[in-house]
Amino acid sequence: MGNGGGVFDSVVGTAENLLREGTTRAVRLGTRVVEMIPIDELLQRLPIEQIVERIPIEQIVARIPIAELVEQIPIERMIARIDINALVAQIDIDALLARIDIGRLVGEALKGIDFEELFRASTVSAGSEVRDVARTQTMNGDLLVARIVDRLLRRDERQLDVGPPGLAPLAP
Amino acid sequence: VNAVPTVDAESTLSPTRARIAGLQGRRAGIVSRVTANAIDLGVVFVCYFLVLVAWAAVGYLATSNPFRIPDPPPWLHALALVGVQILYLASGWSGSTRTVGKELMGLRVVTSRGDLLTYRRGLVRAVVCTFIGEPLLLWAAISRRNAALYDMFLHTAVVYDWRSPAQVRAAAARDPHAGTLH
Repeated sequence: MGNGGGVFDSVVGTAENLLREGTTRAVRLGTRVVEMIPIDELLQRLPIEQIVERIPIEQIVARIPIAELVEQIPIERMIARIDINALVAQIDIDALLARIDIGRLVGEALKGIDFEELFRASTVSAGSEVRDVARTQTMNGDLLVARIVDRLLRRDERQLDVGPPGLAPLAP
Repeated sequence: VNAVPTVDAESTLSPTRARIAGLQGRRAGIVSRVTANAIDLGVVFVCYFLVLVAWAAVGYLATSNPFRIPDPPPWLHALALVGVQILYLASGWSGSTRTVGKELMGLRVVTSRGDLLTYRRGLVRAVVCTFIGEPLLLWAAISRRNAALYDMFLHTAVVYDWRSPAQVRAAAARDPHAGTLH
């Protein structure tokens, strides 16, 4: 029985060695075969543009739940981790300003402003305010005179309804 | 601010603006009316002066005479002034238009039902007001309805109306009773 066990172990050991050597050779052979394949030439022969054109990019993109992906991005946490003060401190304001053509910038900004329209609008607005103040003051005068006369004559408030109240549009 | 607000909209206004909004369409008092009339009187004088200037310009262009503002006798001045005032007031009070004084004071002349005046009624009112308007207007201070004496027999009223011309036109487009208060 003791010899039988030694023979068995010897056979197993030999088999393992053969298997290991076979595997190693197979890998080497595979590597050589792969090295022999002209990958670059094959790639050059592939009609990549046609293949890419056949890919339904739009359908693929349409299936991507972009909104859900964006919602999962922890924007607030990312912003909270940014040290704004440190970033600002690194900016060389003087150098930045030196590179800016302030005169041209101001000129372009002023070109975009319609001063005529601005002046007209502000004048109209000021005129409207003065007019409304005058109207309000005379309206108050009306009420004051009516109150004084009604009190002198010892009678109730006046009946002034003609049209519906709340006629004119008024800004809050 | 282009929409005509309802009474509910007053609750969103400041107290002063809400009070003003509540008075829209109601009869105006004597202070507003006298102020508007004073402005209109000034406008009438300006209009009359422009008429004289136009008359002088026509004379200068049509003849070889030098440019000279005409100086008619006083009675003709008075007659021309009365004519200008009647035309000015009649055209300003009838329809959806307003005189300068009424526009500045936010007032409008309407019938006692709140409708716009026809030109005929506006003309009659202008004639009455031109000759005996101011004494009769004083009754508005005493009247319980802020009515001048001529308002009573002409069935007219002067109400607060702060709407802009554009808003009046918009209301006229929506309502066949163009610009009325109903």
